[in-house]
Amino acid sequence: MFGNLVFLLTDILIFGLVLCIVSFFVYAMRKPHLRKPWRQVVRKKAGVISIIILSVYIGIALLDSMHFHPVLVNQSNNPGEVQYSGEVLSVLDQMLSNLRMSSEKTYSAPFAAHLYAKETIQLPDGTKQRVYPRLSWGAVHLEDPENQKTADIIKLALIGVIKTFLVWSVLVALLCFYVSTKAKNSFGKTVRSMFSGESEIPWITAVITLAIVLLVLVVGAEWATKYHVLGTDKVGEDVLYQALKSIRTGVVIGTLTTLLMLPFAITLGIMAGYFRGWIDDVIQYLYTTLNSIPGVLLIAAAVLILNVYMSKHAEEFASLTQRADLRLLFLCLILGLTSWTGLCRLLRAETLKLREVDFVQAASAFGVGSTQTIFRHILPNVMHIVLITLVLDFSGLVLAEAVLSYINIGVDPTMNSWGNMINSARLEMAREPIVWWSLAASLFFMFTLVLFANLFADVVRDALDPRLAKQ
Amino acid sequence: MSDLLLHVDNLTTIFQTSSRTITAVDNVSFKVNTGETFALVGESGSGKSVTALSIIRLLPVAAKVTSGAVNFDGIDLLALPERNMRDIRGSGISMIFQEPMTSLNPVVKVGRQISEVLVRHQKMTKAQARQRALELLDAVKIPKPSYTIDTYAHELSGGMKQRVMIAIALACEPKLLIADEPTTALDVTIQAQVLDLINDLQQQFKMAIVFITHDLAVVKQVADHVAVMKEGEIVEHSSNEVFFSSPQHQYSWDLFAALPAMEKRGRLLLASNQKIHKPATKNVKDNHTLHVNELKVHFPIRKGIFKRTVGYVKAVDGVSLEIPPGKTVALVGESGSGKTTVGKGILRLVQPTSGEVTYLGLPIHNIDYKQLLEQRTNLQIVFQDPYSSMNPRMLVGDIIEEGMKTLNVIPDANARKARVLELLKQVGLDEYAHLYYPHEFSGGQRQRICIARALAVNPKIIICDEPTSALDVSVQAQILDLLNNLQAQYGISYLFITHNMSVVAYFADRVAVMYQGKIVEQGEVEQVLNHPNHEYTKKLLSAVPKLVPPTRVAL
Repeated sequence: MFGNLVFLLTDILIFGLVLCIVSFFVYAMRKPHLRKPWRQVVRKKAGVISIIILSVYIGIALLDSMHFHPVLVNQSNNPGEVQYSGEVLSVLDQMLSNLRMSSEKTYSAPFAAHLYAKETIQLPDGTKQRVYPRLSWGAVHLEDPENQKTADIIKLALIGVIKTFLVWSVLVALLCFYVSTKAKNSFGKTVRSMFSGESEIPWITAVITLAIVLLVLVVGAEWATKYHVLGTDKVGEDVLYQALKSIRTGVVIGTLTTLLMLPFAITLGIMAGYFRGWIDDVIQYLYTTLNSIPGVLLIAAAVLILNVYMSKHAEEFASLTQRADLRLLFLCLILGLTSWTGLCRLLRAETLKLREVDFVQAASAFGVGSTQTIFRHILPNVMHIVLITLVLDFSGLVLAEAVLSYINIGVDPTMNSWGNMINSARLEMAREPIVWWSLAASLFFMFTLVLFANLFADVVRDALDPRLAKQ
Repeated sequence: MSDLLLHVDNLTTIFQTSSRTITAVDNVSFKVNTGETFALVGESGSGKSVTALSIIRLLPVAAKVTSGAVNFDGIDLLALPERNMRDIRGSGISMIFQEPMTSLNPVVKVGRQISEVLVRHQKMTKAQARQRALELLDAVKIPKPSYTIDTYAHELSGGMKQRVMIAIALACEPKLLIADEPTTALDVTIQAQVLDLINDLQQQFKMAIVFITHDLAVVKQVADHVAVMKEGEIVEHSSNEVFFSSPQHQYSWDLFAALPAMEKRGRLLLASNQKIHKPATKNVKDNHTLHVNELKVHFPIRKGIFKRTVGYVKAVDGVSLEIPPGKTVALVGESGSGKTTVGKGILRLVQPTSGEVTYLGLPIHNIDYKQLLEQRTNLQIVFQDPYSSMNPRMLVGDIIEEGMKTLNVIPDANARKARVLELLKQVGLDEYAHLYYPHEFSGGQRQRICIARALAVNPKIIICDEPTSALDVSVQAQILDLLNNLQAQYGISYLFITHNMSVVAYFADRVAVMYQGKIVEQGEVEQVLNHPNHEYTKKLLSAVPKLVPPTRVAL
């Protein structure tokens, strides 16, 4: 079913990041001082809720990061040979293929059976009439949409609820089973202690959140088999599909930007604080200079230069997707370049403080060298700042993407992103009657991600803050 | 005169965290009469501060008074609405805290901080309040009140700040003053002045004082009645005379036994029947003495865009001393006298500006990196704060091993591990300790680990930078005993940096008194402490509160 795989640059980076995070957690689970704050995160309600919701987002982004050239069916001249299309699709595209293929002519409202604009059609008797024509995919199974639609939507929703319940029960049972085997307790006893309201991890909150998330996903999927749940845009593309595709863009920008800036920020920040003297001066001058250049200006210049380069060297890119991907990566890079200074400054200050602390002095009394001191004594003690910044910056960067795309210096216009959706909504809002669903969909998806990323950041900060940990 | 002012009756305060409940104050009852001083004594965590905060109702959120009553001047404080309680605080009961540095608002002039209270509680006009503030500053013996009233907190010294705090506390002439370790953060000469001041003001204002402290010598000086707290309970409650002549409770005896003093020299503190055997030093060659000659450490003050040096802070300004093998040399001085910098300068943790440090014929101040590394096995350091002197992200075993590994004392990894276990045992810790993180140990245990870390490289000289000043007196006694035993066993010399005169009197062989970067007097301990020559030494010694621990009459 899948053709040969394509690895876009951002795919490699994002899976690399996932690998790093997973190995960090495997490592952290073995070290009590690292494990403790993360245990605290899962013991807070806000922490549990945001972890569940963020993992749905990240899951979708990861599915959307596995790219391949699909196999071309029925076009091959000789049957033994497999031909691949030049188009690059992701696993998510494959899963949502009915949404991807189901284009309408133009705008249609959520759950609509008809287009949002009148068209002149020719009736069988030859007369012409201006009507709202039926959609070519949405609600085509209904004979009489006006009367049947509500019942049909409710019916689909009910099916969705039943399916949700089944999936949820299985998942909760598996969860209880896992916990009971891990705690080496009997199944019934585990369940009772988990849901008595006195367990350390808020299991009740966890399973309720899981139920709500599943409900939204399954009922949405159920509706999406027959309707455009969030309507269609100007060229008739499904808005839900666009919004889902935009998740990857947001997540990539939010994570890769920080990832790309981390080496600069950590090395330079710690070096400035540890060695002081002229090294500190050079690094300080560097980041004050960078900080005084308006970020938007720098980004605009960089993106425009890249645009010129790409249009001059169009032949270097195998596909439009690859081209858009390079632009996305470049945007991450330039955003990273303008945003490492904050973390660098924090790390410099913390290192300045740490190098005078007794345990670093004790190490130098043993003749421990600079490199070892940095890696063994300084770096592990500033990691909490790095983590907090990483999580806090995430939501800011997702929003930055939206703003930059809005002024046309963000991601490639062919790439799905919330910023691009909002950008196109500029005209839609001025239209009469207005088209609100594109804007609403992108705002809702973005809002949910940013909100829970912020909640998660709060919990992480509380857990990692040494001042709070002491109490 | 003996009117009952404060009656705390069966007070119990608990701390509730998600995982457990701790009883911080357990059924505490006491009475304080008008005009008398009641001292609450105890080690850290004994619940003395929580008792005070329960009375004035300023407990942190996690804490709760579960039973008991606090009767102040006929009013039941625990039943009072918060509105009325606010009137009591300040005008009825005032409190002064340990840390004068953080108790004052740094961006408001001190005069306004005093008059604020007056305007709030006594409905004075601003002009009246300022006049009264001037009088108060005069009452707390601040020189030139008319100048001080318009300064900010950072322009004042620690002692001055504490005086301002007292002035604020006294502004509304409270009937009761709660003083929570008011002199602990101050130097001993300043402490003496502040204690005198509090005493004078008590006479003048006819206040009652609840004095919270861990320092028995201070208690003897100020208190009429003494209550000893341990784990939230009052274990002994008696008058000053009785307490300091024949304490009733075993715990009080333990506290006295742990106090270091001149009389206890040559014996262990916690096992006073055991003599300390000083190591034989006669056969050791003279070059095993560490000589410090005219050591200077100046820190440049840099200003402007090009960081030009505009002056120097002369932290250490020409210090000469010697540390003979197997002896303890105490370096005494108040905060800011440069004693810590001397220690760091000797080890070259701070590069000396000039002067010489010679050991084993080597100029330590001038040798290259490789030779210095070799000498690092001979010279080690133990720091003041056991909480910050170990990397919280490393296991205790790795912490102790680090020095051995870097200096290649024991190249074989297995032998090194075995040595770690041996060291832990030597400093009186469990072998399993190497598998834990530093934060899982108490302050005293951590200091033991730090000593084990220094011992790991077999040093001949250990610079102890106030190793006991962050510890309770009973834990201090344990550490001092440990250091004594190690010295007897290995003939290690100590440079013992401290501000505590009674520790010097008990522990040191020689003493050097430091003042503003210079050593003003040095010599044998008995000589210097009993017959001081220099003015500063005399002043320092007279400021130390005297306490002769009671001796137990054999039953």
